[in-house]
Amino acid sequence: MRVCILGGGTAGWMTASALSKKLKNIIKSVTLVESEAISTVGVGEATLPHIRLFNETLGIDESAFMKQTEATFKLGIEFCDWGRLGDKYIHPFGDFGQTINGVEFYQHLMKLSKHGDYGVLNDYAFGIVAAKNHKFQLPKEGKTALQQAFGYAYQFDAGLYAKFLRRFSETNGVRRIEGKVVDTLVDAKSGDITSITLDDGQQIAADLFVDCSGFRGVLIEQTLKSGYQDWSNWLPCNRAVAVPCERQEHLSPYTRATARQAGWQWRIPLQHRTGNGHVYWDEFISQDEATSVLLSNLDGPALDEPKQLYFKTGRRNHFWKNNVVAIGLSAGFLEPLESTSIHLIQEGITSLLELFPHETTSALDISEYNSRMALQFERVRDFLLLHYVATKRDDSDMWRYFTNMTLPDSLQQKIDGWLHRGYVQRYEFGAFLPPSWVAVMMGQNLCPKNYDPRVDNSHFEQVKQQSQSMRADIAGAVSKAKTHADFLNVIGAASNTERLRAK
Amino acid sequence: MSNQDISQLLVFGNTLAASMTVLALSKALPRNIKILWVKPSVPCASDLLYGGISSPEAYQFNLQYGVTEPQLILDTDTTFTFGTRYNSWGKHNRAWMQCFHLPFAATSGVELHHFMTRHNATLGDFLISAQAAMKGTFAHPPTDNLQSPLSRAEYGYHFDPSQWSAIFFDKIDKARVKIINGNIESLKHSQGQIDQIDIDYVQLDDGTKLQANLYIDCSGTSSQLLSRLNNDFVCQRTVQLSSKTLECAQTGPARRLITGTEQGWLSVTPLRQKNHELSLFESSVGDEQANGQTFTLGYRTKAWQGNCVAIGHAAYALEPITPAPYILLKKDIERLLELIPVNHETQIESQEYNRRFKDDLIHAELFHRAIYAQQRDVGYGECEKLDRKLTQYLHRGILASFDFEPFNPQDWAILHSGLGRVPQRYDRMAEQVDFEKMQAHLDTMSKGIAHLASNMPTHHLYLEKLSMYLKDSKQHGQ
Repeated sequence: MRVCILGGGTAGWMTASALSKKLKNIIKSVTLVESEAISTVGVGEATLPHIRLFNETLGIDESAFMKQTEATFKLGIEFCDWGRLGDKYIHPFGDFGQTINGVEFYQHLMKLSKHGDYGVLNDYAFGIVAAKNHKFQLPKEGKTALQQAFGYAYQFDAGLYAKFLRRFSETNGVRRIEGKVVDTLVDAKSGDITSITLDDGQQIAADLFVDCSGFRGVLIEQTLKSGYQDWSNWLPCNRAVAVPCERQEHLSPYTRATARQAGWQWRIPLQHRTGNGHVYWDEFISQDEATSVLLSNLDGPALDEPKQLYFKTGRRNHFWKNNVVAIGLSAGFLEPLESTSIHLIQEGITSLLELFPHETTSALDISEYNSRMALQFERVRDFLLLHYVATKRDDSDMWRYFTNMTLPDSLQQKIDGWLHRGYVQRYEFGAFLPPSWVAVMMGQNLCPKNYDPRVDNSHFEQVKQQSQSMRADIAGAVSKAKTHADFLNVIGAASNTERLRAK
Repeated sequence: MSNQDISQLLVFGNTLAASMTVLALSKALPRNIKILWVKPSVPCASDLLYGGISSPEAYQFNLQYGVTEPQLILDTDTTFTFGTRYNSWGKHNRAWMQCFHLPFAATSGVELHHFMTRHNATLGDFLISAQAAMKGTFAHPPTDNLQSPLSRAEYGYHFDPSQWSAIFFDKIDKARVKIINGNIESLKHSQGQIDQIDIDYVQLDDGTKLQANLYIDCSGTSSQLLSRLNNDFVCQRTVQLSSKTLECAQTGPARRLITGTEQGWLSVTPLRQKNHELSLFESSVGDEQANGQTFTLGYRTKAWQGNCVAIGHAAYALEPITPAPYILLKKDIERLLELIPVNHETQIESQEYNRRFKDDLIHAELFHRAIYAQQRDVGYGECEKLDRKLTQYLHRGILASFDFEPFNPQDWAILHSGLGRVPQRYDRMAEQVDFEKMQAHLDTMSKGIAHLASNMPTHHLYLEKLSMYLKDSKQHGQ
């Protein structure tokens, strides 16, 4: 089987790396077509912990990868001004506290909070306390279960990650061809794409095409007319402006997402610079205003000219159609509020590997792939939407828009269960586990009216003592942990690059 | 945050479900929530529908409520089980050991069952729980030697529901739970919150009227509370079950045996020095069987209506061809504990309970449907979810899954293999593993497992020694 990947951004090179490594000797050839003339979006510089598994299965050394991609560790996302102006909370990777008598700790804290100052949920997560103090250590270094109950991801330069994976892929036999697609040849009978023609006249024939061409969806949409499910009624932000700036002295092991009047702003600290962007809804703010908001809220001087991006939230009707699999932005777009872009790429690659065609593509493989990816996208969509609707903000037209929104049933049920009794409806297949839902709902002041009745079955004094021990355990361990920057040095992940300075 | 204003729960029934539910509620809920248990004098016959077999989760579930394995071994006829051996099953007289097992070891990221397809091997040869069960041996999986193949085995129990009911009953703090021996003669209900009917009170056979915030129907298949609020039972088929217990010289192997028959199937469940035999007859195939009891298999569309929730067989009746009835009971109780109402507005709880109930039931039933698919027509209709599972497996060995299924991917892989379902293809990543080396590895693995299984003690001997040890420990106060 010959595979042609169209597009060389994060999605393209991640796909090339995985196929060339995991299906070596099985795939006849992997060709990646990209054009230096087409700039990549560089989806999401922040990631979810799942990416560690992706890198591990490729045999990528963590320190080397971090050094070459200017990566930092990520313990979560700090959300500012979401529930109310002035609020902030961190959504960590991991749980809060330890269950007591089989009941989640946050339920006990809801009761405790009625009887005094027992801190906030954030005090019971090692990842959050470490993040706030710019500290980092690996979970396995924790001396107690609580100190180990967190996950971590990375923040990196997506362009450098693509380059890193390009080297990896080429070593594994991937052939890179420079060029732009000017034509596609479709078999009239099967509807499959048989070849693409590049601007220099080269024809690249393949049995399977992976469309990583970004928003345009050159193969999946422009050629095969997959169609698009528009979700902008739920997630209406449709533009972003991005710019890097000089980094702060403290290297934060977390991403920040600050709510704005007509969108939100990201801040992703890397070793050599900080990535920033303002996602917004053009209905309520102009491009100039959005850029101005971004530029006036940077850590340091901008390093480049702001770059505009345009998008429509939603997903393709078919992620895989005929012999074309869309991975990355060509498959769909969900704003990077929870760093899910690279995660969805990874999900697509994982499923493709498992369902990789034998001689020809099969309708059964296509339908299984499409079912899985549809579920993943839908569940991420609900989680993102939660951030916009779990709020008391009504200080702008955008926030007022969300006040009256009819939510998808799946999300409405979750919120109802939470508000009534702090119950989190669970699922098995999806990026976000219950602690993530708890983090956002608690963090954005969705306060349950009641707590789980089983909480009252625990001895109150003992619960008080346990909770104090938990906080002390975490605080003590964090105080002894290395700073984020020191940790990067110690493991050999510190970059040799000078910090970028504005000209 | 409001005060919790649920003050009284009423459980009704004399079933395993009732004993387990009352014990769980009494241990998990605060004392300000009073628990009444109206317990009829005669145990319900529908406990037969557990088939006398639990899943591996029983150990942990029992333990958290104070019921220990040593107690079950010393005080009841409970024996260990590695699963169920099916014999003469379906059109092709299939035979296989449906064993319990932890996730299979993967090689180069590829799951074991794909290598079975590639190397034309039989999955059961590589599963210690299957091999030991076939050889009649047993030992506890070690927790301190993860290199041993036995550490991947899981086990459940063969049990007598009435004995387990008694054990759970004994564990109940009688000062915590008010037990009323009696029967519910009638109940009064009225329109409650939006679109729901609530029970106002129940009246016992001695005329006593009892009220509660939540009525928990554990009355078995008669569903004496819920069915009076809304009789929405979806009938799937009618079967007859007859059972008998035969003494035997020594305890049988650590597996249940189910043999397909012309009329249905016959199961033999080894208890301590006795075998419990259960025969299922499809009602369509002939006259009523001697000593047979008729059961209508099916389920209620909503297990929680108004202020009444049905647990176990009061909500559904599945044939006991797998441990599904036990698994579902356990899930019912866990779901109920998570959703004990916080006040009189129970719509959120009932809606969520019913959503999860339906998913669990449908997913458990998928496994039953899969046992019969292309083997025997018992009236199951089309099922999109099963279709996805079967086609994906047959196509390329994909174990398509849904959220929180009662049967895990290993169960499904073993079932497919047992029924002779061979995927047309296997995971392509398997080709990265050298064929000869993998074949050698598989040969070594199967020989090692067969050797280990043969060298384990026989189940009956293991039980005898364990009992002696436990008795001795008890006498010495350890």
